[in-house]
Amino acid sequence: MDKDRKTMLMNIMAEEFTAVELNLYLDTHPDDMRALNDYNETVKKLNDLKAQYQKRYGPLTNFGFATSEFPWQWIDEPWPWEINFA
Amino acid sequence: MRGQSELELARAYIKIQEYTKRYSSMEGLQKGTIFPELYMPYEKHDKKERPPQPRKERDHDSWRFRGRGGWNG
Repeated sequence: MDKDRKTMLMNIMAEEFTAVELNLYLDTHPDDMRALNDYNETVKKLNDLKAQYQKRYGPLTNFGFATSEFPWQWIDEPWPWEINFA
Repeated sequence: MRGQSELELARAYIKIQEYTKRYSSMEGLQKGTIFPELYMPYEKHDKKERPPQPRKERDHDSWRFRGRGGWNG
């Protein structure tokens, strides 16, 4: 797997983790405007990163969450669990 | 029950949080939390000496803690 692709996936994972963290924080601090702004910015950034990745390498998720080019891309390797991030 | 290991498996509580600064997304992914105040070991305050000081504004990169094991449930 090329280096760019791995880097893009790592960046997506990092933004997703930040989104989870801010989400959990906001569950107990719903009036924290700063955290909410950071959350919304993170979501925007995450969506951009995912769109960039999917345009270049195909869908990250199936069952209606991403479109595919022809031929059907979901069966292309590698599967997420076949990627070595070490 | 105490096992052979002295490692702490989990904590059922965390400090009361005040959101000021956070780690960059990538640093957070590696540390296991984006919140510096939850990255263990926690900063220690000597309660007898002085009341806890208000947290100063700091840059993400200036946060440095010794040790490992951030955990944010």
